[in-house]
Amino acid sequence: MIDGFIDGLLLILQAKPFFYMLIGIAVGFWIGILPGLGGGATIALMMPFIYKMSAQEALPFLLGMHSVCQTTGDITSVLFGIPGEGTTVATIIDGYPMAQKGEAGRALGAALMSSLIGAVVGAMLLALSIPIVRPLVLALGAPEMFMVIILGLTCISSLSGHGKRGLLLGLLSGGCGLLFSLIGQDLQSGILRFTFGQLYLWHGLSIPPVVIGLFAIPVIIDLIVQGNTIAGDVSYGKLGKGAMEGIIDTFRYLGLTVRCSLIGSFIGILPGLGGGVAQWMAYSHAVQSAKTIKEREGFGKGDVRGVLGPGASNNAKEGGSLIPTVAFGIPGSSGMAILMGAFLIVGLVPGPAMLTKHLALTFSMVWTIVVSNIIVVLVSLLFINKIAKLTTIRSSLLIPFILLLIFLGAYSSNNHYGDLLVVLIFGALGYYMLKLGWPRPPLVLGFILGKIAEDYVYISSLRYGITWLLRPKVIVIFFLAVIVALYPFIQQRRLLRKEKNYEIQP
Amino acid sequence: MKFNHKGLLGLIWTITSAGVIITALYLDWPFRTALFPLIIGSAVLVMASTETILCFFGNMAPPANSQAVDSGLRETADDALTSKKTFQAFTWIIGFVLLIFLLGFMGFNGTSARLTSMRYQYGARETHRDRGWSGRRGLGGRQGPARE
Repeated sequence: MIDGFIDGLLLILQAKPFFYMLIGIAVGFWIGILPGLGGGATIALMMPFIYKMSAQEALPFLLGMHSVCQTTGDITSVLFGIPGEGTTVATIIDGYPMAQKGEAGRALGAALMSSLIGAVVGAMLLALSIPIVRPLVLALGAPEMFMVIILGLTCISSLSGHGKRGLLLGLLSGGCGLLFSLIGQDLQSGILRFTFGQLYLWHGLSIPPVVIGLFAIPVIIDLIVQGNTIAGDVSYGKLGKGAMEGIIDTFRYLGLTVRCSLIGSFIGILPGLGGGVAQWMAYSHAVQSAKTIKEREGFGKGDVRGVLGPGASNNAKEGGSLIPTVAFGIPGSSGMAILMGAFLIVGLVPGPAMLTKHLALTFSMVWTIVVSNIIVVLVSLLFINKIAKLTTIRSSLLIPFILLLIFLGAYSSNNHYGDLLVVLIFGALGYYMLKLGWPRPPLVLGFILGKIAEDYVYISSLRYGITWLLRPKVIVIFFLAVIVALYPFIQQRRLLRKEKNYEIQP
Repeated sequence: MKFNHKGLLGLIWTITSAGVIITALYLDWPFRTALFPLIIGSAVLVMASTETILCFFGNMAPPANSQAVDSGLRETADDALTSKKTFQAFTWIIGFVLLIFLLGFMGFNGTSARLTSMRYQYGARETHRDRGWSGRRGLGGRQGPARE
């Protein structure tokens, strides 16, 4: 085992694999920054280049590229409030308000350092847990996976708003997201649902245009209305100086960062859920970590913990999702499914052989995730001051450029002009949701999980009839979801009592 | 009954979810196709109608913008001006998309990106002048009040 671990490191430090990894990192860096293009799509685009490569060269190239996408995706999310990746949306919620307050450097420092810690934790988990994780994955069938989705939705819904009305709005927003996921061809029977005779809607709405519209258009409108820079009237010299503070924040909240990394790894291990869920679960956990009501109300307005949680979980989930992909041939996410295709191209078959015959190669993947993230974080930190100053470019120069990026990013998902309309429609919806105090995160999560949830409900009903609802693990996860829904109320009561006692006995 | 925009959004979702349920029931979909829309549609209908009733008839005041854990819009002093600018922003973005439709992305890069950017720059110039910004500064230019 230890031999394999060291051999894995030596494998990627050889000249050719290391060179290919650097190319992958460079490509991943820019793809991550551009909104819309995801790591999975990039692997697919780069697939033709690996035909002439050996497995030792192809894996560092593809995995290095894929794993840094999540890290640099945070940069766009923080600076412009536009999701660089579908998996970096949660970073916007607190990262962008920090940039607006002139703390872009601090937010970027925190996002990058937490990403690095997340990547290391995820990779360590990948190295350690391969023998343990098999029974866990096999223990969760379709009914349990459906309940895990409900748990995730409840988690983010309950924490998206304050008070009873907040829970209602959160759940309603999540439900609306699920409604949007109904559009398109039903995978079970092939019947078209809510397509209104449009060929474009046959495959349903794509995630990038929906997410870009919901989050980017309101930012653009806000910038136009304010007619100001993103950082407002904050002094020029203050912007880039917070990077070190952000790094210190990561270590100040190291417990939270590690816990969010573990959440990300766990979600990554579960097939089908992926980074879309991991980031929100981690964000919810970050909100839960608030010790006072005032602290909790600070989330959404620029609390650094809201950046640390999603940043760590996004990268940790990469290591986690490699576990089922490598060990059992069950891809943990769409990116991993495409990566599995690359395995086959270079002559590797996922399964037990990857843990015996190709153990060094498996560990080289662990090292690729760690080394590529170290490189990209160091490079980003070197230029962080310059990057943070992008928030001082006046809106009239920035807006046309960002809009072009937004529409190009959205268009690249289907190469159809319908994507642009979807951006506009969801942009308007996102703006009014924001204006009227409706939380957008549950809608995004509901939309992402809708199709997966439907599959699980269908499989469960077909396999077990109505009795799947009575399976012990389903009941346990259901009660967990109820506790999660009630937790904010319990926490609020506890905090109120604590503050009352403090006021009486100062 | 008190009319408010929040209730209107709730009402839209009530009607949409009712539409989903009716479609699932009356379009002769097989059970497996109709199952999920019925479950989700019913849940959303209950929640959306509750929200609508609370907004239009309830005593509970709708939560303020800050109550959602989400990144918010920056506050402005003049609501009427904000509404006007928001409308202008929407129309400008729609115009941007229309030009992409008309010219395509390749043509867009060459012609309309410049045209729309220049049009926006022209519109924004007065605002910047009011703020004391110099029009000569480029992308890498230092921002803030002009010295001259």
